Amino acid sequence: MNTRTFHKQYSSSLDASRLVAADIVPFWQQLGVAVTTIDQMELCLVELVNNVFEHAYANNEGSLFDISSYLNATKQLTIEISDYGNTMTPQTLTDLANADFIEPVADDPSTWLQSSRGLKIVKQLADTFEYTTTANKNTFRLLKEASVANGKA
Amino acid sequence: MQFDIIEKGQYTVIQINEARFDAKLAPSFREELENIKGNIRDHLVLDLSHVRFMDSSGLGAVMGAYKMLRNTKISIVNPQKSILDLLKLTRMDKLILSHPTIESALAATA
Repeated sequence: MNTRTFHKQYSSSLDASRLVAADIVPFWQQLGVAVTTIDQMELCLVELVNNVFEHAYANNEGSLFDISSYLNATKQLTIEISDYGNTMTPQTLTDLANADFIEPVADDPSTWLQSSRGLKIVKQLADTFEYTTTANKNTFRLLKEASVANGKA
Repeated sequence: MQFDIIEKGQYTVIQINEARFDAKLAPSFREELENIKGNIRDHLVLDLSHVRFMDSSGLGAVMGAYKMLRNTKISIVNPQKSILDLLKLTRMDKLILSHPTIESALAATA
């Protein structure tokens, strides 16, 4: 079992997702996580960091959020994004649970620009996810089968 | 330069010279598009050869172009696998076709 854990605190901004990705992708590579899984989880992480900036902190720069990542005992890649801002509403989570991508139709503009595209991507790519709020801390937690190469982790 | 604009007959090519087409780059893309929209020809080709990563904001910017340029054909050229996967996942590959090269994109409507 790999006990190494990535943990770092960042400041909210439009650039933050790039900083987080630049830090965490090498960590996942060191763990031996499969390239496809890394690509998918990088996308999920970027979507959630942007969600923190845009919604939890209403596009305000300089608010703190935490990123943690590790392989759990069953070699699932675990990612936690915690903020201290606005909590996602139960309705948003209910809508997300029921949402899926619809096939766009060329002559129906209402199908071109779909809402909550970022969260739908996360829902599709993660094996499981949960959103919890404790005191003033909101945490989005994702798990994904890591497909770790032999000899790693 | 984040973008290069190339005019080719009835085609306009926007080459995106960034590794990440994300929430940081999307506003610049929209601004560039606003600046040139009056001169865009019948077919807009987005050359993504240099783009390694695209998120929902980048995809939203591409879809914004699709909406803005209602009578213009839009194609994506040389997307990396992760971008093809994103288009397929979000089903936007049904609206915007991808091609391996600019020549093949242009040939598709020649």
